[in-house]
This record gives sequence, structure tokens and C-alpha cells, in this order.
Amino acid sequence: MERTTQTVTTTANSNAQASKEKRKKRRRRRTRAVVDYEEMSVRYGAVKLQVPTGFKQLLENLSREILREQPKNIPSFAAAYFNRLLERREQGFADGYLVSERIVESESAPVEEEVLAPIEVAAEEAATLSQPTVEESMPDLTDPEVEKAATLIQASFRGFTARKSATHVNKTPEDSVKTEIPPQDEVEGSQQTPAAEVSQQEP
Amino acid sequence: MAPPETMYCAQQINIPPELPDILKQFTKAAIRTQPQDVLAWSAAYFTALATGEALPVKRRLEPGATGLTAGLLEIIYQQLKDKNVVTLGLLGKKWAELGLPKQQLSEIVQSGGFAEEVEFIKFFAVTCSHLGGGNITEGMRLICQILTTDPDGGACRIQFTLFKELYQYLASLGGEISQSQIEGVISHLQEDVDKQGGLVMPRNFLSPECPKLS
Repeated sequence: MERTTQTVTTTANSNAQASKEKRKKRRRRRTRAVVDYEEMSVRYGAVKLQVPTGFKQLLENLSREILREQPKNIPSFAAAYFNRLLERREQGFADGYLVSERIVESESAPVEEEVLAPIEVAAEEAATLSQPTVEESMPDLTDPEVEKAATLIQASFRGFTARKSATHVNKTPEDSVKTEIPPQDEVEGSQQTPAAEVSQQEP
Repeated sequence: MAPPETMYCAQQINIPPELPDILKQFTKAAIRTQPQDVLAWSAAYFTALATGEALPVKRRLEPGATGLTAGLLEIIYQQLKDKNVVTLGLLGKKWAELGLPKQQLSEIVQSGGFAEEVEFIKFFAVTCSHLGGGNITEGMRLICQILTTDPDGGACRIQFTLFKELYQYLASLGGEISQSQIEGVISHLQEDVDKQGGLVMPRNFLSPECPKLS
């Protein structure tokens, strides 16, 4: 339907006789943009602008990594992030987009440390708890091989948490759209609004 | 997308103030450029942004275009124009960043007879000729279109000295165009150029009065 209006408008433009009112109407119809948030596209009449295939996923991953790491220099962080993904793809990781490994700036971001700290501490505690009994077989922590292995394990764990948080982030906005967000004044009440609301509406 | 005020978890997520604009510009660039290889292009985009180089972004959308286009060649030109000599490795890297087929690059390298180190402007000229389907006239028109500092849709004027250099180079490359023909073209164009302050434009050599370029 949009396409036909576009062709009509172009022929009408060449026709100088067209009345002003009709023109106005057409212009209003032509400039109306049809936006599809799901596929990230905009359509103006016959002209459709869309992001390339795979871009949406890539943009989501990038945004998540930036929010997680809070880098000081976003462009260079993003460059490092994509170059790492590219390297991984060349090494044959087909799902390189989803497996996100943490890329930390040379000056480590303190904000991020705070967020992850509890998990890491818990993991370390668990490790130290199980260690003493097998002290004989404790690996030499200064050995570079061990460090490599540790990095690998940590990376895969972070990949796991990242994927977990990714599905979480993906779900949340959709859910909030489906279950229409209640008006502001109702939300402001307290953290447990859903329950409170129900009881208010019931009587 | 959800507004930033939304709480996802107990800790309010801090959104860096410059992030929205970075993502917006990045997305606009992706829409305009329509890269074949999104990941490679994104890596190149942010690398260029971080180092302050020319961004791998087309100036305008080229709908339905695949493989090498004038817009992509212009990106390569803008990124490498300050270098006199480039290596085939660097050209291959730029090629991959834009998601272009390797086959096309090796064809260009072969037709130019380039070795490991390439004079960039010569590579550029051969690529223009390749893009013009091997037609020197169309190649020279593309050269003017990309090298000009005239505004879009303008006359696409370039310096005649540069035009002469590139035309002589391309014409001699095939070995099929006689020296007298080359000289005939140049002397004919010289008259126009003298009236145009040392500049030449496609209209001069596309005119039926001008001897054939090839």
C-alpha cells in the first residue's frame, strides 16, 4: 500500500495542475515513516532502510558489554571487543557472537569489579575450602601454564554468566511490553506493587 | 528499546553519557554502508574511530550493490590516500574489512602487475578501471568522481596533471593504445583545461569532439 502511494506522489509531482489540498494530503502520507523496531527498519513509502543482517544481535551484545565493563574509552574498547570476536571467528568459533569473553581495559574498570566481586569471592572461597585436603596436588600458581588454564576457566565462566544475563536482558523489555507498564503513580508506591495493586483492586 | 530509567536489577545500570550517540552514529553508518561482513566492518569502524582515521562509511546508500562499488572504493581511497606506497597485505586487510571478495583483489593486482609494494594511486587507478568494466573512459570518469573536491553532483573536476599521469599509466598498461592516440587526447583536452584553470572534468573527455580515450 505504501509503495503505491509513493508512485502516485511522483507522478503527481510532475503534474503541476494538482490542487494544493491534494498535495498537502499526499505529502503528509508520504512522510509518514513506518518503523519496525523488531527488525530495526524504517520505511518511507517505497524506500526501506534497514540495518544489515546480524547487526541487531551485534549491537545488543556490544551495548551489554559496554554497560558491564563501563570502559573509559568506548571506541577503543569496542574496537578491542570486535577484534577479539573476529579473531575467535577466524579460529573457528561459529557462535562467536554469543560467547562473550571479558575484555578489560589496561586500566581496570573499578565499577565492574564491584559488581562481579561477590561471585568471584564466593568462587575463591569454594576453591580454598576444597584445597587444604589436597594440598599435595596444589598446582604451582606462578606457573604460566596454570595461569593460562585459570584464565580459560574464568573466561568460560564469564561467557556463561554473560549468556545468562543476555537472555535475561532480552526477556525483560519484551515482558514489560506485553504486560503493559502500569501508570507512574502506581509504580512509585513501593517495590512490591504487583501484590499491593491486586489487593487494592480486589475490594 | 526500554527507556534507561528501567531497573533491570538491584544496581542501577550506569549508562555512559556518550554511549547513546556512539551507538546511534554506529547504527547510521551500518545502515548507510550495508557492509557484507558486519563483524569485520564493525571492528574496522571502531578501530578507525579510536585512532582518528577516516571511518569506513559510505557517503551515501548504494541500494542493491554487491562486491566493489564506487562508494567502497572511495572509503579505501580516503583511508589510504596519505600513503604513497602500500603493501598488498594492507590492501588485503582493507578489502576484508569491507567484506569484499578476495578474487576481485587478485584480479586487480594481476591486471596492474603489482608486486608486494604498490604505489597507491596506481592501484587506485587500476581499480577504477576494473570497476568501469575495463573501460578506460569509464575508469577515468570514476577517478574524477572520487578524487574531486567539487560538491556532490558537481562538475567532478580534478587537476589535469594528475589526470594525465593516471591516463597515461592506464593507457600504457594494456599496451593496445598507441602513443599518438594518447597524445591526441591530451592535446585536445589541454585546450579545455587552459580555460578551466588547470582542471579537467568528465564532460571534457566524454564529449564527442574529444578523441576516444581507448
